[in-house]
Amino acid sequence: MSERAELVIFEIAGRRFGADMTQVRRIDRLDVAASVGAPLGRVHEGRRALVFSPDGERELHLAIDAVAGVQAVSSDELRRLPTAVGPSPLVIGAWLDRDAPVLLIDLYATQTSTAPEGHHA
Amino acid sequence: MHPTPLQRALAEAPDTARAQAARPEEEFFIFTLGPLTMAVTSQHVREVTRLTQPTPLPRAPSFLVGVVGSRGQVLPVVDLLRFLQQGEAKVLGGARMFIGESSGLIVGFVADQVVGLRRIFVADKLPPPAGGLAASEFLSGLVQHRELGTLSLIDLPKVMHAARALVVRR
Repeated sequence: MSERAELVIFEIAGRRFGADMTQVRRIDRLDVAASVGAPLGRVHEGRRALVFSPDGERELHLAIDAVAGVQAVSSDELRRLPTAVGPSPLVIGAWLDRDAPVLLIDLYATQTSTAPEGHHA
Repeated sequence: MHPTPLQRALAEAPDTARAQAARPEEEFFIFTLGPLTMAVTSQHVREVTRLTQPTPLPRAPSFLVGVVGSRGQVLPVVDLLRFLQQGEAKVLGGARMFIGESSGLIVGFVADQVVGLRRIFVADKLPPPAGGLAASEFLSGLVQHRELGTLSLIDLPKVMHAARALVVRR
């Protein structure tokens, strides 16, 4: 029997991402002072945030546009990033929603990240 | 009795047809992208498919337009125009993706139109233009094709490994 995990699916600038449910403390109003910036692109609305705490004490906020839901997935539906893309601390893999990859984000890695580069900015 | 010319000729005749001087050729997969018609050796092309909208990767170089799902696999998608600094591809509804494979790396490449497979004489290959252009490094040559015009012969394995090195270095 394959492993199962729960993902929080959220949207930033029209793109869907997934995060490990166990990393998310709650969904709350954005506290700009606690924001990790825009490692996944600039939000359109950005009034809400995923709240997480890498060290179990200080809370950090990732601004998002919307939460699309919580999705239970099996390991059969998950993929590591392709070799050609290489390892990335921020994007740890993908959930294949039919044939559309939803990038899986390590929220804890967003605290050291900067704004995205190139045409994704 | 002396043999006649015909008998002498018959005596020298081979049992089977003599091989004509071989003129080596290679098979190329040909496609268009923006203003360019490009060709890559067919042995490095695994499959051609319709390109679905790629999922962009944060912090990726601009030539890596994202990832797509294909037959249950997540594949990176590269825009060769951006990689070769020749402009940028427009990922429109009818765009295609061909899947390149080299030494364990599997990468999708954007194509506007697929022309198909053509055999090209090795002797017809011209050297890539000199002048230090970024693109020249990844060209194995040019061919003036009677039907298709100028073909840019892309060294796909070199592109794939250089692209990976650039992505990983970030």
